[in-house]
Amino acid sequence: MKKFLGAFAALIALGALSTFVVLQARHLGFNQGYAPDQPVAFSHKKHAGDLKIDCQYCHFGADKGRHAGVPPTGLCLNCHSKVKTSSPEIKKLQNAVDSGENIQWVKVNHLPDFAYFNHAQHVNVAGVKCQKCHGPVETMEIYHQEEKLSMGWCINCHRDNGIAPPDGHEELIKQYKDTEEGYPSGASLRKSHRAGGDCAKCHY
Amino acid sequence: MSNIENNNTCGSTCGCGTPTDGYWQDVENKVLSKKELTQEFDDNAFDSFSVQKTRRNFLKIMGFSVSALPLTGCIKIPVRKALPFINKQNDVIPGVANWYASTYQGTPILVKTREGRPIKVEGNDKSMVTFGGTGSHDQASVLSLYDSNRFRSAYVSGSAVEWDQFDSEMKKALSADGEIALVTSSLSSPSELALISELKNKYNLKHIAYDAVSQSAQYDANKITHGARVKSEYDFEKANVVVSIGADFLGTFGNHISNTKQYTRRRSAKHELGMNRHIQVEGIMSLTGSNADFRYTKSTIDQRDIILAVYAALGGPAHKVKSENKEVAAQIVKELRANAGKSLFLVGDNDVNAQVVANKINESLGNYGNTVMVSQSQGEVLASDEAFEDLVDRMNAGSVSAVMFVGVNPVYSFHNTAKLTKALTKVKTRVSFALSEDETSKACNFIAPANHAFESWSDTMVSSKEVSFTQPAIQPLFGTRMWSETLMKLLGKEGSFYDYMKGRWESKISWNKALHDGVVALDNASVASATGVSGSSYAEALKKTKVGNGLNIVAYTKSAIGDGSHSNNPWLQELPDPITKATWDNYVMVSPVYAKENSITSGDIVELSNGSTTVKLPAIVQPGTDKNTVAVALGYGRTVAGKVAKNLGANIYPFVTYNGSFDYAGSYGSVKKTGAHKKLAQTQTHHSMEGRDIIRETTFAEYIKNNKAGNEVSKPPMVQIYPGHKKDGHQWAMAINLASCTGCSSCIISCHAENNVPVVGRKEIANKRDMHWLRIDRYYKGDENQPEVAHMPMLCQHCDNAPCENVCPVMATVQSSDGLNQQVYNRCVGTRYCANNCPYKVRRFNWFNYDRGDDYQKMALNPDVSIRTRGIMEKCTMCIQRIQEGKLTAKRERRDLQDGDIKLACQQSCPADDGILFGDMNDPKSKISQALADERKYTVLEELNVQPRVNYLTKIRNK
Repeated sequence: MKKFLGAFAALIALGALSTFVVLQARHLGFNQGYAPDQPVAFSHKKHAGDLKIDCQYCHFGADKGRHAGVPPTGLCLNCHSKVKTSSPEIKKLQNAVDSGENIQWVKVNHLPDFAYFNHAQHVNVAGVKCQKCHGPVETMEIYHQEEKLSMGWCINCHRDNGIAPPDGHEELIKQYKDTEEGYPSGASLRKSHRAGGDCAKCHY
Repeated sequence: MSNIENNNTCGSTCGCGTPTDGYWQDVENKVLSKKELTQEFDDNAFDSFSVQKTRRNFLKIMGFSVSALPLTGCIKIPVRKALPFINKQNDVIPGVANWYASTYQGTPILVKTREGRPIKVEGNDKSMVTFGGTGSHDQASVLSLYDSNRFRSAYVSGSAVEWDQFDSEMKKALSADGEIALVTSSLSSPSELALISELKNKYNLKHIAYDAVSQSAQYDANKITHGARVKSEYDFEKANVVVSIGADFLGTFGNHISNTKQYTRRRSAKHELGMNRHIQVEGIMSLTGSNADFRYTKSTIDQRDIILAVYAALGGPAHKVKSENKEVAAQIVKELRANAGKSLFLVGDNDVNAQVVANKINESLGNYGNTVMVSQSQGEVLASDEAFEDLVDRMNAGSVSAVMFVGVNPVYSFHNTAKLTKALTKVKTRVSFALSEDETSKACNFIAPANHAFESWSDTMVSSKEVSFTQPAIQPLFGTRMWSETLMKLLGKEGSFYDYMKGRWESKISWNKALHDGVVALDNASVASATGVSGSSYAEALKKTKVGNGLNIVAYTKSAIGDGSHSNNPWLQELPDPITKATWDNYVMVSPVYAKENSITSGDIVELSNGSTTVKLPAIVQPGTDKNTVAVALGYGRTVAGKVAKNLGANIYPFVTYNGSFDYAGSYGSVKKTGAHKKLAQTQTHHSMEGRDIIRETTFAEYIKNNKAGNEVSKPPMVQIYPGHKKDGHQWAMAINLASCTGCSSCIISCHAENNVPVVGRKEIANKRDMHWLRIDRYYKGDENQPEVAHMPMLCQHCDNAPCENVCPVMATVQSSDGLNQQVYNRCVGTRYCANNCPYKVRRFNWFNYDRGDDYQKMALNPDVSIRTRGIMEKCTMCIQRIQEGKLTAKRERRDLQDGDIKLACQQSCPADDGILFGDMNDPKSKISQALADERKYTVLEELNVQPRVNYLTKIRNK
């Protein structure tokens, strides 16, 4: 009996260990809640929330290309060459521009190299609000990664919105009607929006 | 040795008795040893794995893997930095490509830049000369830009100096009254030439153009027959008959891109003027010869015999043709006569007499003004072999005080290096404008490194009627300077060369539009008229060609490596030669007859000697080679070059002779076996279609009678257990026109650049682990001494019933809803089952983490395509990133995707006319749906019912 007890304990220990490993490994690479210190104490709450500056004033790439982009330091000085110039944080910006030694921001949202994501596709074409993926940025004093940014999270949103699998065009059309320009016809929308669920939509 | 007796049925190998249309069952039995035939893997195929296979090592690796697993729970993501621009760059949006119209070595191109880095070259389809076609050099130029062997600063007497100091020292050195020689390659930039003529006013300067691979004789001949020392320009589209005596006009002769475009337009059976007929007479199998309808293997002497016989029949002096050449000459004369004014007679020989006779033949046929043009260009100084030989003599006599080399490397490429090196020691000031250290710059005391074309401003006459501008796509990477800027400094001119060039053009054209479009059509070329000189004396001189003893040694040019100036480019080195399919080497091509007589097999190291020079190289048995001719490619054996080119192969320039012009086939000598053997790195060693109708073909006459000719194979009943795919929305398909494809291989480099395909090196290619996603299979048919050749681009066929998909245990390869076979790298675990089950053998496995070069070369990578790591399978994705981009652009512009919005990398670079078509087969108006409805359409290995999305159109020969 004692002999079995030992074996049984070992088995449970092994099982517990494996469960732990699997559970941990599942989170590997996800950084939900990641809120690193940045070299400049920039507040999204102040700028996007209180002052209601449009997200795309700074992240102007979101509408046009793959990357939303970290704004060029000179862009901050569009205002801050006049506003709050004596603040030590703003001086960091001015120094960076003067010296040519740029500010090294810490990247928060990160996708692996094998996953292709295009901001313009979502912001420009689909009219998705920034907050849908990035959370209530306008309330964040220190910016953090709101969502998991995992593949399952992407797929779920596409499923919920009828983009993948490719059936469910009606919902899509409905969504497009809300956007400013809209589409000439439902037919053209259907045709060019196919293949939403394919692997090679994002992995190539 | 089995021969081609079993012409019509598949005989010895598989016994299936299937008709094979005479394609060779196995070249191997002819040219490979029995060992190579039976052995699939090399003895040393696994040497590349450097870890020793001991029990200890096994336990070490196992132990690490086991202990690494629990650690996964503790790993923190590394801190990643995001560095924005300091100030927003105009027009640069991260992730969005910018395109600049430019020119690379005479080809109008568009340079794609991402975040300021050039990453890809495409043809400029606004050009009326190249119509968007590119060659392999143009495609590979991106990698040359990032060559870290390039000079980082100017040098005076071996020490690095600032440019200011360089300028003042050079001015001092040039102030003497003695002759200054400026040696460039053939130069067709009007602005640079204007600068040179200004320099001539200030100094006693002589401008000499020197081409390592020269067509000087043709220019001399045009001077004689038309009074203008210019290039001949051709219009193949108007030629019903093209006769080429040794001119590789699709590969290396003249503007091969524009030639290919025009020529392949007439290879279409649907052209309103019908299909052209192409007769090629040559001593070695060239790319052009492999496309000919009638190809005759003839030695250099016999080629001249035929030229004279044709001239005799068309108004030249009488000539007694050799009996073995009679028939060929008669056929040529008959074809030419029947198509007077609508034919083209080309001679590749760099011999003035031969070229004059060729001109006279075209003249008597009335081809001038129709298919051949001799027009005075706006600005062009063409290579003159004689002028360069004179210069070397003058240098030796000590009458030259300074010499400058721009874009040429004569210490490597001149046939008599010893004489030139000695001559250089007698010149006080020697200036090199090389990009990176080469044989010539090593002999120079002033080095003024020039910019790469992507960092330069210039203008180029791509033809007498079109100018193409070069504009920079990136700031100079290495502290170099345009050579024209150095001339500006010498002249003491204010401003930059850009200002100078703009000043010359601004009044004539709309400058900004010209830079936007890249090309401008000019209509002020003056046509040179015939001088009426008699060709008899030239024909008589041609008759007296000296014949040496032994084998005729021909120094030929490979389309990828060229004259050797591109040889430090690994993409070009790894590009399989269109004919031999060999990479990373030059070799002695011998005929099958000679090989049999002297029991030489491919890979045997032989000693090639012309009495004064001896080189040791592997032999390759090449069908279609004249039995008394051996041929070796130029461009190898560089001694001062980057690590890729250095000491690769042997330099064959010493075998070039000089008699008024450089003679690349003027050497005679012997071949001796050494007993040593070296395995050649060939990408195609199995040449058999194994009795299957992989290439379907017909003749033009048959096609006229029945459009389905050659494609009448009855389909076996198609049964499948799969339910099939839904085919709505976009459904991508490709069609490859085998009548158009010349096998030039530009598409392979384009695919390489677009898709971050790694370079694996000579050893791995020899281990049959090449990584090209797209390959071009080459098959032979008929007599091995003058075989017919067929080229077939082979890439992932994107099957609907893909055999790779159902064997993948992890679903890493699946069908997409728009009909592509997707390879998902992040799912792939590397079982390689898919590659085993692929009937087309187009899947490529990453055996290693392949070297992507240094940090500079990594800048050439396409940021939209993943870098595959070790253990991953990869293959053609149908440029999915381009499909995605095309769709996104259409969606952003709120419109439907139009046919032609998406062009794949291979398709874009193809210089042939509609060689590769791609599009949505559900769109009834698209070019691809029309091609799929064509009666010439078929799919390879149809009987497997894998239903490929890549279709082929039957090859048509005009026999």
